[in-house]
Amino acid sequence: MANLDLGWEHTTQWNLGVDFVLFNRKLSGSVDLYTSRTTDLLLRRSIPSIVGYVTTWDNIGATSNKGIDLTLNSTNVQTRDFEWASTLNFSTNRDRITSLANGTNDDLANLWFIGQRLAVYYDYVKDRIWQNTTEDLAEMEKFNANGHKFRPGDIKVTDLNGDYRIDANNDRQIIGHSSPKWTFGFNNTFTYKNWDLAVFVFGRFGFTVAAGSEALQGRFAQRVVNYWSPENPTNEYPSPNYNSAAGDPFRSAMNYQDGSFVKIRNLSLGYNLPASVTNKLHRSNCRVYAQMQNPGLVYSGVSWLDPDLGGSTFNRGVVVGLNVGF
Amino acid sequence: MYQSLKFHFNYEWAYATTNYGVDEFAVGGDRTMQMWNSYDANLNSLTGDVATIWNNMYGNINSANIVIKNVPLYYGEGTNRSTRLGEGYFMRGFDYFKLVRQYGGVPLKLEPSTTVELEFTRNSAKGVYDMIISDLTQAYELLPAVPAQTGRITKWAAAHFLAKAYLFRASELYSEWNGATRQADLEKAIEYANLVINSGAHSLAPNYSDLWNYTTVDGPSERLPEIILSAQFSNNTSTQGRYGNQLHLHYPSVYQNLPGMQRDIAGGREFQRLRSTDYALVVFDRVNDSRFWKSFKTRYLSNNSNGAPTWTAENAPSPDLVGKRKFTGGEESILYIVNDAGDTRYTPTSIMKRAPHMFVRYFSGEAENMLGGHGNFQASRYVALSKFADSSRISVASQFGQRDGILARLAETYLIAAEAYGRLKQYDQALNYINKVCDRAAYKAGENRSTYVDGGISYKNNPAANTAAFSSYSDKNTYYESNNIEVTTESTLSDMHLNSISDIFSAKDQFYDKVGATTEESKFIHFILNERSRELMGELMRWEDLARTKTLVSRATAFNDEAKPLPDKHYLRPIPQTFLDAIQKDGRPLTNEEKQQMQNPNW
Repeated sequence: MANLDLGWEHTTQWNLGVDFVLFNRKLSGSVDLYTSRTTDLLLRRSIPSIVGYVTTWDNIGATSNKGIDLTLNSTNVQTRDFEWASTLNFSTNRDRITSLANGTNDDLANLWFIGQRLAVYYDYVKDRIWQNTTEDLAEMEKFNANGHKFRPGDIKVTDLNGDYRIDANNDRQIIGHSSPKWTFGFNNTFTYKNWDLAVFVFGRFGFTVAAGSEALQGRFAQRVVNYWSPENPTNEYPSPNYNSAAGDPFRSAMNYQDGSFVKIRNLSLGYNLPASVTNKLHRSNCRVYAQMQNPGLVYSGVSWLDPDLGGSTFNRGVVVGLNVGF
Repeated sequence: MYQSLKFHFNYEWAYATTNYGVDEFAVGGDRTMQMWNSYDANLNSLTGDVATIWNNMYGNINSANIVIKNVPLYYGEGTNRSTRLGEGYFMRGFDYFKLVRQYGGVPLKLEPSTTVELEFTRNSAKGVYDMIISDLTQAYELLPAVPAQTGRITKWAAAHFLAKAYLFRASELYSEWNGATRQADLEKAIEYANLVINSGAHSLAPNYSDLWNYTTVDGPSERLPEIILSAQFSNNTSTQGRYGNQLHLHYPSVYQNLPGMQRDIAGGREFQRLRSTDYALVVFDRVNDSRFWKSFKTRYLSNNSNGAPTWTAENAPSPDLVGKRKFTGGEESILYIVNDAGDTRYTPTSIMKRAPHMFVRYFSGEAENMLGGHGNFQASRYVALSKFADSSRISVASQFGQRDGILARLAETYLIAAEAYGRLKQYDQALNYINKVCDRAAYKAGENRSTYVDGGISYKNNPAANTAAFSSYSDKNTYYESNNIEVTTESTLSDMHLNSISDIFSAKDQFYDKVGATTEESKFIHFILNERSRELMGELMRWEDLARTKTLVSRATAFNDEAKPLPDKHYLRPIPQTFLDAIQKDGRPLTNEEKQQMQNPNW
């Protein structure tokens, strides 16, 4: 929809930065502190389709954003044959919705909530799996009296308002947010005589990945999961159900995982041929090296995908090279 | 706006919201949309297609609002002005009619929007019907009798839907408030139906199969005078949109994996969504009513000689045949035998002694059961509705169907008038109108009852089809073997024609006992619903007909093995959660209680 009420977005930003070099150039770096406030933020928003369109651009409200960026470069060890140098980046960022166009009301259709981050997840909350126990059967009976058809092996979501009825109006809540609380990058370079080794480690912490629910309906390929059966009363995944093409009605509640991870992005090892050899070859220099991109995750909150990319596929590359200077 | 007429044939929502969860069809081998059939917990306010129908109708209503607002400003006076304006009113009425049939009362939006609006409330179903009738009446007054191009909306299309809207408003679903308008609405339904019937513009096709005898894109079957309005699909790739007419995918049962068969363009892709129920087969008098054999496919030919099965020592008719192929390319390869309980001709072993693959509805000794569990029909092997077969497509795999989607045809107009007369207890008149479709459905003298045709025939005119190879298409059916009668070419008119209303009230084959119809009024409604099945089987109307007559629960329970609709819930669809979450009241979002109140009961 062409929104005739559209106006400019305004941002005020403060930034404080310090660059420093210390200890005879052994340690250098910079610190940036920033805070900004945006009013009349321009975003595409969902609107009631009654007007004929499902989205439009609109000035949706005000947000604040503050954070720290820190960079440290250090030479940790330096001897005649050996050097170890590091670069550390660290940043943390807090964006918040401070008000919305309609005042102080949350906007559920767009999942914008005052005091929350801009990109949040909102859904039913998975508690566990209904079990074939006397207590659970009695509990299910109360839900089923209100029209549910819960059976042992189904997902048990939290009945937030306690009315023994799970419904979209009363039993969904904010589950998490998709942007991390903080990230870091840590690069280390080691040199020993003609050898050099570099390792770049990268990590993101404090965010939610929305992936991992499985339909368990027996038609499409899916990963191996620990699913419920009478012999395996797990609380992880519900029982398979061939008759239900969509899977458990509350399966989206299985989706939300802590996405925190630490990952080696790059690993490289090189060897410079000594001058005695290069001279014989009549070359100014000669370097043999091997590099590996994305060798793997050091730590991850989710086992079945790469939370860096949000998917289960990623590129892993190995490069073996020779640099020759003429 | 015309593009939006195609929406009703585009994708899975086409049948899921209209022909699932009813008496005629249940879930086949592919269960993708099963929640619409079973009414299980996966059908709720967050289900994707609940919002798809809603959003698309309002999208087109907005286009209609723009037309209605701007045509008077820019078109001056004259024919163009009234035609364009009439089209705008028609579309708005038509789309609100779809909304009210699915959701009940919905917000009425009658002006185009240029700013974000958030405050909406639902109008009553009555208010929406008032608007529909007002819009369609305007459309009737404004639209021309003769369309400028094929597919344009005429005043007869407006009159047809006006008659239908009046009939709907006079139906049981609205009995709480329609008392005051009911009598007048039924008279109006008759009046507008008669305007179409007597317009001179429309007449029934002589043979029921003329409607389904689709030989080529935009061919004769798409220009029959019986068609009052159809969504225009063609082979023009610039207007086919994201989907084309995909109905050809959803009805076929699986043939491609039977030995001696492979998928071909004439047989189509078997998405096997809609499995015909026992009701869908038994509702027809399959000896005298030609519509069954012109709606369903019962015979296939082998198109893969190398894969054909071989005779074994156990089943070969003579020892020298053991190890030889049972059939070869071009020969009969699959037969569906549509018989009744009590037929002693077939057993699981006897059918193996036949050359073709045999699918038999009842084996010897099996008791009648309207919920399946007899013979060797299965989730993927059922008698497939073939009305929408489309072999003009550019390849075997193409989902882009090119057949027009019929939205209104004169046979339905007759049945609307017949139902309105019957509801007014003018049964003689009702019979006259029902007989129009019954008489046409009869076999004519000299007609070859084993002749079969469906849209698969269009492969013969399709350059993309390999006509030199064997085709699965068969121009014969299993009429004589299924019915187990001698060959005859006599007319069945006297068997099909209803002579008096007692033919309806004292009928033994209309399931009155199974659906609990005891009064004359109720028997008449169930008879009309049965007749609508016979005439309009699979034509994307059924759920709405059963919901409005409040027969959905009794009929789906009696005839659909999985459907479990609830009387206090399932006559309406849920209001989409996206709508409830987005709207406001007095500048604030709705509270959970207010949302619950705005939602349809028990969703």
